[in-house]
Amino acid sequence: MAQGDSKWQKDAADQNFDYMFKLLIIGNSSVGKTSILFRYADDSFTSAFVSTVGIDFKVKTVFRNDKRVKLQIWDTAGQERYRTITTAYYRGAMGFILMYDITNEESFNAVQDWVTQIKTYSWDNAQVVLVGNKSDMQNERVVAYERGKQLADHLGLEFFETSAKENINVKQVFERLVDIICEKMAEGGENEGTPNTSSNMGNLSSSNARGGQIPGVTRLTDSSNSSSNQSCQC
Amino acid sequence: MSVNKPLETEDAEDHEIFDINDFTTASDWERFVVQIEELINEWKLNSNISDNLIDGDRDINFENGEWQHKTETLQFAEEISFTLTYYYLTKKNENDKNNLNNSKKDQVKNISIDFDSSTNQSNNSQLEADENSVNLVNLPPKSMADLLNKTNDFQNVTSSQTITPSIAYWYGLCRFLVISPTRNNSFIDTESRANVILSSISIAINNTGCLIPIFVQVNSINRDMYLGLCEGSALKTHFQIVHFNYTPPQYSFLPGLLEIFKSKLGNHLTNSSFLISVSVRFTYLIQEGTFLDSQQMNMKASLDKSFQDLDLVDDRIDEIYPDIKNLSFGSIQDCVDSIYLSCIWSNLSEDIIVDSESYSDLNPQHSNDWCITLNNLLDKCEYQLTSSLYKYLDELKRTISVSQLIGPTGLSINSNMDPQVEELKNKSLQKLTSSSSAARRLDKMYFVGSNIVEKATSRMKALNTSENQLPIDKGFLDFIMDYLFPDAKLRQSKETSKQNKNQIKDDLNSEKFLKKISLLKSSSFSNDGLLNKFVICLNLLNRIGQTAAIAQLWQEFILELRYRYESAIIIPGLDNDPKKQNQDSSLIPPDLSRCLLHQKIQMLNCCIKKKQERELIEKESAKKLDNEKQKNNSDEDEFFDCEDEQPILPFEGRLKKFGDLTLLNKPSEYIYVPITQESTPMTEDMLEQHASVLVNLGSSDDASLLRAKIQSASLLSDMQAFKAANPECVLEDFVRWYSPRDWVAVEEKQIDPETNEEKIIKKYELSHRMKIPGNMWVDVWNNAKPVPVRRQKRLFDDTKEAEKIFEWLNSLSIGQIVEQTLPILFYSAIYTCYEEVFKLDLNFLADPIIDLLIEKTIKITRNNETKKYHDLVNYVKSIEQIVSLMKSINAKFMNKKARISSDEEPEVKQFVKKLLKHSLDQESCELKIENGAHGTIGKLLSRLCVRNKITHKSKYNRMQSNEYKSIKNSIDSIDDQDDNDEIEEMENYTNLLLPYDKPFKREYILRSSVSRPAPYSRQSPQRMYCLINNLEFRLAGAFTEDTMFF
Repeated sequence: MAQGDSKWQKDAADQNFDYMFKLLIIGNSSVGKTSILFRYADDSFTSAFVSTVGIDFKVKTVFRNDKRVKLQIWDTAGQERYRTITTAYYRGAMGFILMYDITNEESFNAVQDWVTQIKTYSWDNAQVVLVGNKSDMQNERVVAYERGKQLADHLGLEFFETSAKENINVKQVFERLVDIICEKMAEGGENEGTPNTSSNMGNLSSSNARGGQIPGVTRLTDSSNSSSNQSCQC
Repeated sequence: MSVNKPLETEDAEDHEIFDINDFTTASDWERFVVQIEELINEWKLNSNISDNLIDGDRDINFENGEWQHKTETLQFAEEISFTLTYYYLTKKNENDKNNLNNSKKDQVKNISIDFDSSTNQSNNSQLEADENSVNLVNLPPKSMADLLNKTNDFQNVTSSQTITPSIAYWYGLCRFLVISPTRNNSFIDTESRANVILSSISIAINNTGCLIPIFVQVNSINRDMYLGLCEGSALKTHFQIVHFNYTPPQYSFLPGLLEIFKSKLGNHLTNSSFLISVSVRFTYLIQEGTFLDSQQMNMKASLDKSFQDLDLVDDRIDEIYPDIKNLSFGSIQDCVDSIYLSCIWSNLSEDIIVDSESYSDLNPQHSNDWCITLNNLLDKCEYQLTSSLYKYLDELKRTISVSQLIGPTGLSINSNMDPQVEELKNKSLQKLTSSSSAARRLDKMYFVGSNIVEKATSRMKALNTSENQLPIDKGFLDFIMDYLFPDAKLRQSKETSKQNKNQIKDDLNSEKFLKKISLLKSSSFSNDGLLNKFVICLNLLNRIGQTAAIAQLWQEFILELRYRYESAIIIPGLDNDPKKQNQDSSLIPPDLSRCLLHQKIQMLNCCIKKKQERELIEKESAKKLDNEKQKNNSDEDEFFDCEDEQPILPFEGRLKKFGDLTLLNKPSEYIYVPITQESTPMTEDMLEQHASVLVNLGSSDDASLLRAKIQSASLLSDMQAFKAANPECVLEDFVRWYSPRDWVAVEEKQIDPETNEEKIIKKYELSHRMKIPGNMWVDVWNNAKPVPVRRQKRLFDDTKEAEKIFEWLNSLSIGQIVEQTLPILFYSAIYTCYEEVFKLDLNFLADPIIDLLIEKTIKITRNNETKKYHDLVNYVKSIEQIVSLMKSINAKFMNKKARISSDEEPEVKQFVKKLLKHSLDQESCELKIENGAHGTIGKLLSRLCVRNKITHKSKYNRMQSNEYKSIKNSIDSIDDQDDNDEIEEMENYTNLLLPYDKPFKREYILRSSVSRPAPYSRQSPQRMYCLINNLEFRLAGAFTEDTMFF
């Protein structure tokens, strides 16, 4: 989605940030995707958000190594009927929060499905964190922590249990995801062997210099993308 | 010589005197000598140090050592300058380490090695430290000993880093200094000049005690003539050279050469008093160098017709036109220039061998020391794929539009652009509509044969533009279009293509490759998709017919797409999964992992499919009208049995029952899943537009609401359809189908009125969030009227979308067309590379390159970094080089003629691969053949060389000026006729190896240890190297004399 980035960049240009990460929250219907996003972005919680129609987003800026990283977090509708619409947005996302509801077996069983969806539609180096939400509702828990952990290990994902309501682990999930993405970018930078970057965020900038190998990264100063992207606007 | 310097270095007195006189170094010549001495001192080659140093390197020979050199400039008088270069062997291992460090530095600094001597210096001082003062005064200097050392006989002195003069080769020297005139300077052409330099050398050697021979290059540089001097241990060696452009008949064989050698050694010797040892190397030309210029021209002339895939020729048409199915691959000419076979006999005694014009003991079949030299033209060859890619990339800069280039008037370049574009568009549209009757007729015929479809478009085309101005003739264009859109022939062609591709899919490696390459943002996952074929054709046409050909095929392609859209015929070859293609039921949305062009064409297919469905429904409903009375309303209604013409029935657009669930308000009625509109397929640019619209709304709560509203169209559509299918339904019913998790169980305690026991009764109700007053879902539900999909506003307006796509396709300039097709072209290029590599089993060499190529291409295609495509071509080139060279080598060594048995095969294969690997590193590669004539490879070469003689003979004879006239000639020519039938042609590569019965080049090294100049002198090393071939005659002698006892 390099073309898209250039456009988003314009929109974001008046705000202050160095990098933009595009994240997606996915998972079955009513597992708490919107809740966790509101908790993280606005630090607010309501017992009931209107069921998301299609796709929505919120923005949050975090600091990593003295750089402002703008997170554009997309919230998706979980209903089956919206799958084709939401999966179109997978491409270009750098990170996914795959969420299930610890009080709902079905949502847990669907995790494997969602992973497949990510594999099919996202770029190959997108990072995923598995999250079991509603950890405050211990009485109604049907999915044990261990099962979640086990599944995450099996899938090679990091795992958290959160509560959007009680604000448990919410920040950690997002920060960990950002960290993983940064690590991945750093790895990519090392492989190319560009030792000359001296800044703290050297790896970030080096991978960006190669044309944003990591999907969805946008750099304010990087204007090379936009010039070559005027091919089609029909 | 005016200055009488004593030649013996005797004592300090002389030095002192010299030192005093040193202030009088007034003449040019004296200053020149001082310069040489200074350099010798600076490089630490003076007195004992130099020999210690050499001693440390005693194990090094030409094979395991690596040549290095240092150069400085000398000035003679003001106007004449020379270079003094020190050549020396270093140990390879040590050197490798150094190289690793240095090479990087060198690359970065871009400093030529010539002047970067500092690292070498440190290297030397290291050695010095190791080898301390070993007094070697009584032994001859190492350089003199080298003259008799046989290990370096006929050893290649070429090195990757240093161009070492042949001096090393002739004399077997491991260290030496050379004074040569700088290029812009006139060479040393007179004997007196040479003598001046030589005496300077002599003085410098004596003053410094340098034990390393110093040479001076004389005569014109290309004659490679040197005179030299070496002194040490009271021995003095003169190096002399004889060079002619012809071979004096009396000296062309060993006896003559021995005569010269002996006469140089001195007449005071009797024949029996010393032994001369002889080493001989005969080199046979077994593959002549191709004469590039003429051959290349011929090749180019026939280029267009020359690469047909022989497997596929079953149709005459294929023979007329170039291969449009594959990217042409490989070098145009044979990239092996020449092959030489050298046979060595070492250390023979002069009196046991006979070598004369009429008879020679030196038969290659008796030599165990064989060596093959292969000279390649890898850097000079032209590679078809590489050059076609470059040419295609060149088109990127063209901003001219298709219609401008081949517009209807054909004189478009100087006329105004915009009206013309319009004109063309209008015209083509007119033609399309005017020929609609024809198209309709053709629609019926479509099922008979698809060729007619193409004919139709061609006809439209013919109406459109004047044919004679276009680069591709109609027949060829038809041929291409037939190939691109086989339709009715689809099954056939699929089978054949499968056969072709099968070989690449067998292997585990290939699976990995296919997986890797599928990450490329290109077109289909296989190389035979429509767009792959199309782009291969574009690339070919660009090579043959220039830019206009791209425009012409592009226009034709769009016309075909237009025709297919108008006639609702699905475009074939977009999805590589045949199962998917056959599932007519569902719309395949554009695959966002493919390139934009592919997405657009897929999108067009969606439009066509939608159109088909609409037309089918219309037909069906028309039919239904006829049959409607016989029809009962059944629950098993099919997709198209909507019965919409019966107003009696209150429901419309049912798809199927939704389980056993019944309506909440009317438990007698089942809930039905309605037929719904499929969500709008989107290409990546549409998606981006959509996303940017959403993003631009900002991140406030209001914006969220607005976003939801924008996206609620499909929710409304679904609700309307649900209401139409389920009269008397409520939102709860809808939620149970649409979002079952919002239909939640609530436990309620109730007291049973009879037993007074508390019972927990499960009740279901809408989730909390669905009950939020005024929420989106409720709002939309309340506003939704029961409307079946059939009567709804289309969410996906296929007509509009299709027009948008055509508009886009037509708007592209040549450069943009190239840009859009590059990902596909590079996919095909990589695929072709892999296929070729796989066929020849070269994965071990090429896989790393291919991996890197794929990796880079993935990045570039994803980020649309069009400018970077150029970098990729180099990778393609190196693969083409590997494959071309391998093909060429195979043609020579592994053809049928070789009759390789299964026992030999592994060894031959290994040999061939080794040859390939070495050739890739160097322009000229030399490879030893184990056991010479008696080894497997030797026997193979014997078989290959002895038989084929044919035409090369006459040429060869001419060149050899009747030397070695063979009586076998007549016999051979009889043999040839039989052999001719057997000789198979392998592509462009020459597979004929020449016989080796007449050496192309003969070399002799004569050696002896003799007392000179007087019989009572100490024995000292003498050596003479002789080279005889049809171009030159060279003797390089090194004659030593005792300066103490004479």
